Amino acid sequence: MKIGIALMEKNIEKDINQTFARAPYFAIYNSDNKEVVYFDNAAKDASGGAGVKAAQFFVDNNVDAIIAYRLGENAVQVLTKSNIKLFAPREELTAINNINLLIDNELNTLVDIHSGYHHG
Amino acid sequence: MGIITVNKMKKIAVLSGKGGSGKTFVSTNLSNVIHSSTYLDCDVEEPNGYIFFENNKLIANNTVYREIPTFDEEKCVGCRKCVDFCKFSALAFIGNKPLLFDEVCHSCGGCELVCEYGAIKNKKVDIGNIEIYEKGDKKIVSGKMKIGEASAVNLISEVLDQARGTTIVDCPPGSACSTMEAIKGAEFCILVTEPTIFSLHNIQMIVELVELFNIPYGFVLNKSDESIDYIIEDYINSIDKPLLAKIPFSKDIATQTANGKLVSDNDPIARDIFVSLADDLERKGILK
Ligand code: SF4
Ligand code: SF4
Repeated sequence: MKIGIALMEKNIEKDINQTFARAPYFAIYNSDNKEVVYFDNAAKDASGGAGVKAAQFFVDNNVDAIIAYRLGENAVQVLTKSNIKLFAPREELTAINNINLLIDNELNTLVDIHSGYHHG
Repeated sequence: MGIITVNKMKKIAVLSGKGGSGKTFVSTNLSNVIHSSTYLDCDVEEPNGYIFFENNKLIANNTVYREIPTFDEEKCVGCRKCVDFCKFSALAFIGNKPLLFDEVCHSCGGCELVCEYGAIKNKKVDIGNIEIYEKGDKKIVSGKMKIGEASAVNLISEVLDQARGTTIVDCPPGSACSTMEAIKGAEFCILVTEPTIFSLHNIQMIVELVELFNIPYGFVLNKSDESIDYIIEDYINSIDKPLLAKIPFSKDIATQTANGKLVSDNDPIARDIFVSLADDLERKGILK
């Protein structure tokens, strides 16, 4: 299973970023080989739909699940239409610990969805 | 032999850091004391400036549209060109098909051009309307955005097309895209603020914006109160910009404005303030 997260630093021992689409980095963790790949988030400075762009990134990388504190409506639409499952992390845990909980089926489904921030 | 008359247009944008600072108050009263002026209300989420011009006559009401793409599933081969082209990330690509997020779409028309399969056609959607009023020698234009429409930019640009002669533009509050659109082409900006710390912070963001656009500007201090004016005055002095007018805090002005009246018609002191503001702008070469 491939799991996507947003990060403040390129380090999954640290916390998941509080925001998603405009986070500095993304990471994709592959539970089959326990490998993690880091990416600079190209959607961070998007002039329009950062949520759409960020979500599209994970769709294109065939992730199965996203762990995020909160997501915008547009991102949710792109992700769910692509059958990507959305989970809420536990605040006190690091990214990798949250990933391990998800693999053990211990994370709740994400409910915090905001109506998005428009460009203007 | 004919005489060529050049109708010189002068656009003055009136801005404030937040709603309720007196932006509409200043723009309507300033228009009111300028001969044959045009007042453009670009505060399209809450346009209420026209109310102050009593006994105005509605002469036109035009619906404004913008174009968004629609996709013909039969013709679309899923090449993804349109999605990769869209600089605004208004298109997602799901299950080999483009999906539009219309409130993100800037109606640039680009995707229709890049599709080599004729699968994209633009369609018009209604985004609001523009009401044009007349009162004496004044023209009053009010842009009203349709509820649920996310971007005010297209509508504002159409309101600006109504400029004629000396034009006062009542801008949306704040410093977002819609405000940037509204100050386009302005020769001068009037920044309306109140003497509070909170307003100081807000107006500094507006200063950054007009500096970015390189438009000359000055300030009008509304609800002026000698004991606290220094909050704003010290700042204005520090950046070496003109304080164009001070409007004293007065119950009378507040009551008249709350009742939809123009103080420049009803209060001689207020009228003097606006007339000298207009004179000052004229001396600076901004009017005429
Ligand atoms: S460019 Fe045209 S054919 Fe290609 S995905 Fe977009 S709509 Fe479909
Ligand atoms: S019209 Fe422009 S902004 Fe809208 S979807 Fe097409 S390319 Fe993107």
